[in-house]
Formats: sequence, C-alpha cells, structure tokens
Amino acid sequence: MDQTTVVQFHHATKKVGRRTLVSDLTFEIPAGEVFGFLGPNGAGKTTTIRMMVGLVKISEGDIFIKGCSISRQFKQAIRHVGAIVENPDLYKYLTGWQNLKHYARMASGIAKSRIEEVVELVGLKDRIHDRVGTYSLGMRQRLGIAQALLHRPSLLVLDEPTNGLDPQGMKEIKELILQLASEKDITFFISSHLLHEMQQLCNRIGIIQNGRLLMEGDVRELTGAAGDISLEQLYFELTRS
Amino acid sequence: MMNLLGNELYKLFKTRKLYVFAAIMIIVLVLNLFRYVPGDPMVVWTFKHGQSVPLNTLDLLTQFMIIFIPILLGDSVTNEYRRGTLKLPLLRPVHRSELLGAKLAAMLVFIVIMAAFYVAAAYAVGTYYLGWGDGTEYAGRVFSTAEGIRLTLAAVALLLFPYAVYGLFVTAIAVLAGNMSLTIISALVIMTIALNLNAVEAVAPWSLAYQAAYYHEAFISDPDWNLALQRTGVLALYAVILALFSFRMFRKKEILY
Repeated sequence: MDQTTVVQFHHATKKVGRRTLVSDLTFEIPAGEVFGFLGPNGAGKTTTIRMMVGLVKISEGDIFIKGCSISRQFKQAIRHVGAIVENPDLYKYLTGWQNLKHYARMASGIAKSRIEEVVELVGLKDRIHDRVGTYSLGMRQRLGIAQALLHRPSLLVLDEPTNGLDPQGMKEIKELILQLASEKDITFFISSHLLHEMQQLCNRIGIIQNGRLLMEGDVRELTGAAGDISLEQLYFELTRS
Repeated sequence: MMNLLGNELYKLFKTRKLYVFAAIMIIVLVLNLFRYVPGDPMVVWTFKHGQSVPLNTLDLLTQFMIIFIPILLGDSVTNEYRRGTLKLPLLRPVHRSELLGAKLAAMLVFIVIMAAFYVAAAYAVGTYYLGWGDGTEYAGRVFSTAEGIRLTLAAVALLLFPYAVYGLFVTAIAVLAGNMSLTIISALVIMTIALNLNAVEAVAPWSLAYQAAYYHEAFISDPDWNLALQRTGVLALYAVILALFSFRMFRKKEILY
C-alpha cells in the first residue's frame, strides 16, 4: 500500500445470513482527497461505513486505515478516524461542552485548549454551554464534527452529513468541510445521495448500488470520459443500467 | 479505564436516577413504618427499636435492587445502543471490553451508594417512628448498639456480592436486548419467577434470587461456614459464566443504531 493511501478496501464484504449487503469492495483513497460515496437508499453506503469504523464485523476481506486493519488492529486503526455515522447521536441531557469533554477523556492527549479550538472551528462558541437537547439539527451536526475532530484524525467519515438540514445548515456544513479539507489536511469519506452537493465537495467518488461498487475515480476524469456530463447524469446512467 | 469509569459515573449523576431512587427508598420506608405497630400479628416484622430497622428490612433493599439495577443497566447498555449514543464511544481507541467494564464498574459504585443510602435512611426513618432503642433485635436476639451496627454493615456489605452478580445477569440480558423495556421486563419477570421458587428446597440453593435475599444469613449472627462457602461458590460460578457471556456478546454485537 502506498504511504499516501489513507483508506484501503480489500475485498470487503458484508453478509447477513444468506444476504450479501456489501460485496467485494476493493479501492483506495489517497491522502487529502474528499471522497464522495454515492448510491441510492439501501445501496450499502451506511453498512460500508459501519464496517469501515468497526461497528459491524466484516464478513470477508478487510479494510485498512493508514495500513492498520480495522478488524485486527482496531485501536491503532481507529486512532486515525473521526466519524459521524447516520446521526450525530450525542447525549442530549449534557451540554455541548460536557459532551466534548466526555469524548476527550476517551483518547489521550486532548487538552482543554484543543476542545476550545474545535468549538471555535465549528462555530459553536456561543452555544457550547447549552444542553444539546436545545440544539438545532445543524448545530448537533457541527457538534458531531467537533467531537470527530478532537483527536486530530487524518480521516473524517461523514454519513449523509447534510441529511435533514435546512439550506442554511447545508451551506454551513459544506463550507466547514471545504475549510477543513483545505486548512487541516484531512481526508474525507462522505456518503450521500445528494449529487449536486457531492459534485461541489468531492474530487473523487465511488458509486455503489445493490452492495456493489459500480465505479470509482476522480470526478473530473469520470465525468470528462463520459463526454463532459454532470455527475448527476453519470450517476443516473450508471445506476439505470 | 479510569477515564471511562469517570464518564459513566458522570452520566449516572447527571441523569438524576440516583436521586429519584433515593427518594423512592425513603417513601417506601415511611409507608412501611408510619403505621407499624410492633407485635401486630398481621405484620411479619417484630422489632421494637429504630436501630433494628435496617438489619430487619434488608429484604426491602433487595427488592429495590431487583428493580433499580435493570433500570440502570437498561439505560446505560441497551438504551444507549438503541438511541445511538453507544456508537460514538465505540469510534474511539477503546476496546469494547473496556467500555463494558467501565459500565459494570459504574454499576458497582451505584450498588454501593444505594446500599449505603438505604442503611442511613432506614436508621433515620426507623428512629423517627420508633425511637433509637437500647439494642438491635435480630433473629430472636438483642445485640448491643455497637454490635448491631457492625452486624448491619456486615450484612449489607455481604449482600453487595449477590447484587453485583444480579447486575451481571441483567447485563447479559441488556447486551442481547434491542430496547430498554425488554431488558427491564425480562430481568424482572425472571427474577419474580425465581423469587417464587425460593420455597422449593431443591431449587433455592442454586437460585440467584434466593442468594440475593438470604446470602448474608450464612455469615452473620450464627455463622454456618459450610453454607457460606456453598453460597459463595454458587454466586462465583454465576459471576464467571455471566461475565464471560456478557463480554463475549458485547464484543460481537453489531451496532446497527
């Protein structure tokens, strides 16, 4: 594996009983990329992410984060990952600050100044001492990103990060992702079915349907090779066939 | 591990469960004692002194634990899984066994706090209604105050063991259950059935419900060391089996919420 590869899927497969939810995923994500993982509902995006962060077992194959197997070297691998899977499910009866302190205690070397830094970064300074139960979905999403950033991960995994957000919330999250990608040198793995948004955010994509990877590569190269079409057109051509 | 335990305790105190449970204990003690008349043939208790209340009402403490422990673990294990809040801690460089270990350690702290509070509350409520008295009555004998306090504390300390094993039993259910109600109801139904089987001599020595109610009696007042050893052995066997099962299931659990 190349030194600059952050994520490597190696024939990763997920089976439940006789059903194959994700089949034989094999691809790599180089450092610094914003990778969009696209597919219709039920295509296997969230299952792939759950395998990637060790929430569900990989049935066959493996996934490596910075060269460490998520199934066999979990602690070493997950150290490099910050993630929000599905919803930012934080403790609603605690304040934003208390939530961040809670997660900071679970990794070594996170000082108070780092918590303040990520709060500033996600723009929650004014409301950080309020209970999370009083937050809007957009604010919870930003707090979720803050907890994911606490331990300075090199890979940020976001599952449908703009799902359920109003246009203003979507804009804020997109800007935050672009800011983090350019300033903090973080590799992103973002799943979504919002194609226009993914075209704006990502420089690399993978399209999954029925648990199988249909296509993976550089956005411009893929859309260019198909005759300078939009990502949306490419997606519908692929998924229709 | 200490940081994880700190997190679990922080949540325990923040959710106010402890305070609600403590209030319930006081209310039940008051309801039981404010009309209590020593010697009433309709009542099983016979004590006359307030200082005898904690030692003679330990069955109440056991009943509280049988109800409170499933609520605690149903929330910290099953409900966290269901609400999705178990997900984020599992995305940290922490092994699942460490996380479950921290939850179990927090449960032990909870048991100790609840038991200590019960003793203090029972002394206070008992003294309020019956007066302190000049000795501790237990098993047909009267002990000096100092001896009575020692016996009370020893009995409660001994009961922590079966309560902790019961906690492991509930944990085994909690890691399997899909929602908090299922954890609580399953634990309570199984324990109620087991309590009703206490009268069956062949079953009782092997029953966790029996041990939770009577474990201490083999040690205090007139100790029967053979019986004490047998009861400890049974509980230790339960503890090992239930802990191995719970940790294994938690490690293998697919986090789907």
